[in-house]
Amino acid sequence: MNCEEVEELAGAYALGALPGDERAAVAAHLESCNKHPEMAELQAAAASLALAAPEIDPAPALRSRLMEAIRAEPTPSRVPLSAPSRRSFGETIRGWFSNPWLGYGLAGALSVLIVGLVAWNVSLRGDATTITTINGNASGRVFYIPGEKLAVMDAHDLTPLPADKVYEIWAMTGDAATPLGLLDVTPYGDATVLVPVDASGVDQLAVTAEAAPGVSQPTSAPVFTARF
Amino acid sequence: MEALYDGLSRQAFGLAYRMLGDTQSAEDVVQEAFLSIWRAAERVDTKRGRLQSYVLTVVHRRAIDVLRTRKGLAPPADNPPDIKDERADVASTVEMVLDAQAVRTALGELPAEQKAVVEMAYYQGLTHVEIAEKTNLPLGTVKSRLRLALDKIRVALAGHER
Repeated sequence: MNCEEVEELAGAYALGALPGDERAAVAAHLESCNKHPEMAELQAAAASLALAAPEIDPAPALRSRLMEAIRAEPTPSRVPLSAPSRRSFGETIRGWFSNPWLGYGLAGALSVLIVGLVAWNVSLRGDATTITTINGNASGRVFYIPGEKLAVMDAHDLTPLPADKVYEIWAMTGDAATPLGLLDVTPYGDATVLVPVDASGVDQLAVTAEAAPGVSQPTSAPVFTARF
Repeated sequence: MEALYDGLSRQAFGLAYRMLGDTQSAEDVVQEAFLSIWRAAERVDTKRGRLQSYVLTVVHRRAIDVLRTRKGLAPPADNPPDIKDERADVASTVEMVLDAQAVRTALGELPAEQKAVVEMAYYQGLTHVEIAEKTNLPLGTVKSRLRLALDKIRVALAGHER
């Protein structure tokens, strides 16, 4: 298949409307040819059509069935979330964790999903929330809700650490550092964590790479900071 | 997971229902999509847009499988419905534009003949050959309409959040 033929089929390819043999031929061409830079954009445009469907509330029973099905699943093994003290979560956040089984007892990977949604929700609320950009060797933001004394750290592009190192979060007041717990990073270099902290009197949050399982005072320069 | 479900179930169910046209099949697809996220939780990128893209991509893919099964067609070899490979789902999720209103506007502004072929491809899971048969159009016309329509949507959505 040549470039011209690929261009002719680009719309159908992006929409998933090619029979298997043609799809494979286009995919093979794209693997070895860089003359179709718009293909990714066309695929994004096609994928976006999912949002054009009218939103419809599913029956409440579906939610119950899904949760039942999840209970019957093996629990994900990885535990990427470290939330130092869940007792001090504010009422807003508690609402997200209202189910005892899925909430406070929630283990591991799913916490990350939910915390991501919390960060999203917080970012959408916009009320009484400070949003700070992360500076340093990571990107992302920290949302701080003064009324809840709660920060949501949403960091990306972090370098995964060797097994004997951990990322540790600190509340910095001048040169004084108070440990706030660990920041676990996914293989994608993302980390989202709820940090109960009273930001009044705290200059910034800092994250350092330290020897596992964590230290009582930082021993290295911050990997990134977020100033309140 | 409840928060995730509550945040995205309206869009997910709306898409599944739009594609399948019956409540039971749509519910099954949505449940399967969220279960796949539970199973793939370690590998799912938690950025908001990625989650949304991931959920809707899986719903779309599962619904296409249902449509093809209804037609008596075997699903494509790289996506058999009885082997739920969540890793493949995660790896192949395409980022999408997140502004639903902008997407609806872009689709709504297409000429009727272009909108029709795009909807047949995306929501009904028809191939370009099937669309040509159904509409009695030459295959070349279907190909060019799909390309033109998607190009217009791409241009209309340029610069929107992903």
